Amino acid sequence: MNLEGRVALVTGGSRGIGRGIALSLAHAGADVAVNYLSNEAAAQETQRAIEGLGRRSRTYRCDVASSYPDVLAMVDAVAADFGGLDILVNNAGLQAPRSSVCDGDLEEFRRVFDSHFWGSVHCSKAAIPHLRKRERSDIIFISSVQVKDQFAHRLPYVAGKMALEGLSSMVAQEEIWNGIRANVIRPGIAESEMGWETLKRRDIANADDLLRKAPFKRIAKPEDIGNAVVFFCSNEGSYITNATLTVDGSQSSWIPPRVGA
Amino acid sequence: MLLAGKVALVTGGNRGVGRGISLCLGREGADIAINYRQGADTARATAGDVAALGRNARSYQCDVSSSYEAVAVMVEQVITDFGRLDILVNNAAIMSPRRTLHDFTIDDFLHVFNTNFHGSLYCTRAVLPHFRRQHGGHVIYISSSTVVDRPGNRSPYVASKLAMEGLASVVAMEELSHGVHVNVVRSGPVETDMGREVFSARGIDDVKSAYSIAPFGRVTQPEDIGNTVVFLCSEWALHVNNAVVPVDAGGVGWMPARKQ
Repeated sequence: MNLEGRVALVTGGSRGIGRGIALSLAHAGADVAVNYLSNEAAAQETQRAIEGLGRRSRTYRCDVASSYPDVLAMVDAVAADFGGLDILVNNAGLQAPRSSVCDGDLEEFRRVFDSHFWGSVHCSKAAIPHLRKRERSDIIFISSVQVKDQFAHRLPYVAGKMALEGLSSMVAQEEIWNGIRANVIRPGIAESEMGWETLKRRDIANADDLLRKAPFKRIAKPEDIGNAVVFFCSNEGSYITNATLTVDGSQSSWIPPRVGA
Repeated sequence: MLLAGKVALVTGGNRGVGRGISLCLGREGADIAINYRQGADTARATAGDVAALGRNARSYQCDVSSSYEAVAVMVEQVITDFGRLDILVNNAAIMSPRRTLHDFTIDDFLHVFNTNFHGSLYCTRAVLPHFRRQHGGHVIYISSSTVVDRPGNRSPYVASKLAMEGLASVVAMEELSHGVHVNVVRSGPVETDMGREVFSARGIDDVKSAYSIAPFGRVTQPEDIGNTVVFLCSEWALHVNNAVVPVDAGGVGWMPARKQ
């Protein structure tokens, strides 16, 4: 799976799963633009790691959820800096608060929902004119297994990811004649700040013990998600579009659900 | 009558599928609060038709996507006027223009998405404290078979209906212990003003002419959706919760392919 000569933009690429995706793409030969929201040091660390693999990299600070003109400026800058754009990975998204629809803060719902859904709308729309210029290009949408588990108290996360999956199908069909593939990956809980936070919220007191007994002796690594992204974008995955791939080691069968509603 | 003594609020209840839902609930004994955004005349007409069934009916002007505060005021007014509220039907929605994401302006996209998703969120949120206090109530979401079919060129519509189905499922789980039922009706294209455009996109300009090739001798009517809403809100569906019921006569396979 070789991505040499291709340029990728990964939103929320500084940390966690996004960082894993950025590094996997670089391993496969792609140059990677790393978008981040707040943690400049983490973004620079990711950039250095990519450069350490012999690939070009730059960091771009932008809140992808809030302003389309800002996103447009970022995407155009990436295309200018790298000489075009081949791959967009819509990965950025905030952790959801734990609150019910009845009691939660509507402004907080909107902030989290927007990060998952509107960030992807803005980035996809801004990227499509650049992606159309290539014979073949890719948009990957990072969803979540929570789309099928649909836990209570996670409204903006679940609704945001479901809307994102709808967006992906639409773009897949709209852009099929323009060479753009659009696919969805549904990660399970991964080794990241957000992943550990999620495990903690499931009232799992001893995560080490859980992972010792786990089927593959671990939860997902960010690279597991990154490898799936590389596959979709590679020649080997070139006939796949409008598909959804779950990468969760069947977690729902062995990670206990949260106790209580 | 399956719903005698109940009170229902139907968003976008003045026209099309919403009107059919209002009439079916009224026929089964429920008093109806008809929400509408525009078209006071159609709201009056539907209220008159519900009243002719011997029920109480009133209409309430409110753009449910405009703000949570406006929706909360409407819901409180309904409860004051009718003395109770048992059923919320989240039906209000607008169709998206046929356009690719590439060609949509962000504002046009936002407008369709907000009406369909945030309208349902605000209404749900406004009725839940009341449903919790009375330990019971029904929330119905009118979704669309396009969430399965997912045609291109309608991205804000499809994404908004999927987000709404996510909302339904989350609320169903959260309110389990409060006696609240939450279900989704996934409507296929219906013979309404909005539906005609969908038929037309598939080359059916005269809907009546399609009756001869449609399953069961006709295309879907607003009452088909209304009857399913009645069932879901009745005692017959006590253990139907967090369900999705498609009402589309088996899908759109009988129709000519969509024009690209």
